[in-house]
Amino acid sequence: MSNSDSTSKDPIESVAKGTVKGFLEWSKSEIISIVKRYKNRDVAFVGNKEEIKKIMDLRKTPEFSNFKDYLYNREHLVLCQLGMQLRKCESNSTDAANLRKKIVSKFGFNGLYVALFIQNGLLGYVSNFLSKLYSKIDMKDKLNDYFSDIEQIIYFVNNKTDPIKSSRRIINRIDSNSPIIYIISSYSSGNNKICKTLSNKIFREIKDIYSASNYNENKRNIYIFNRKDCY
Amino acid sequence: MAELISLKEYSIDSKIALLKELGYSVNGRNIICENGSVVKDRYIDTPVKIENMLILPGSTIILDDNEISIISYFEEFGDL
Repeated sequence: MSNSDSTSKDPIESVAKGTVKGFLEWSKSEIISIVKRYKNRDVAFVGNKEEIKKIMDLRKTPEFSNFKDYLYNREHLVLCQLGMQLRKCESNSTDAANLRKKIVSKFGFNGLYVALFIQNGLLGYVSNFLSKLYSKIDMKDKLNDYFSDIEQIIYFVNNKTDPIKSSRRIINRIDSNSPIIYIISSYSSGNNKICKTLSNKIFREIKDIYSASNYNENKRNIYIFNRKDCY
Repeated sequence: MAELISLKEYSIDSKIALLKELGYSVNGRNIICENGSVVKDRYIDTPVKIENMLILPGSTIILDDNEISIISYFEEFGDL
């Protein structure tokens, strides 16, 4: 998945491979044979084998199986996997930032927020809550509706979030849509402080209608507001 | 599961020969179809460069080596 050329390989490794440049070569007959195998779907030409295997392994996890139970839109399923990828690379801020940029470029900010929603492990919580209210089919429709406009139910705090302005915007949104669940989420200690201030401001305004819970784990701070009449 | 062959390990000449056998040519870093058009990644709609290409099964699918294209391919065609 990197753009680095294999000319940057260790020269000793190159010599060990018996080639001056460190590259392997196919003979004409090998190419004919390998193309035949490719056409039979016996081989695939990739960049980094380990990266491909890691993506395939993610697709075999119980978490991803759950996503397939809930979601039927292919783009949403792609975004779920990108969210899982983001979680995997969150210790490397450069890789995470690069992936976030690619997601925005392809899927826009809604796509990024869906991926962040998955990265933060929120689908399990939301689907559990929805399962108490809806049949499985209705729940799927609801989730797919949420994923098409994820800001209906979540706000991601960043270092530019102004708690006063944002709380006004979020309260307006909650007032007009009456979502059964609303989530404020942040990552990193600086953003977590803003998240706390913002969530407290919002809760003061909606506490007659919503209950609140708060989770802190792995540098994440998550406030969840559930509409009281939906229990 | 299909055998995975890492193109990063192969010379540019071998990659060009592979593409030629598959019916493509190369112009600079771009890959050219038989009809003369530049091969674009079907998922991110950008030209695929020879040094960063993947060739995956399914009517010769040439993609850019990035997470979005790989995951989108798996979602459309299934695992390798």
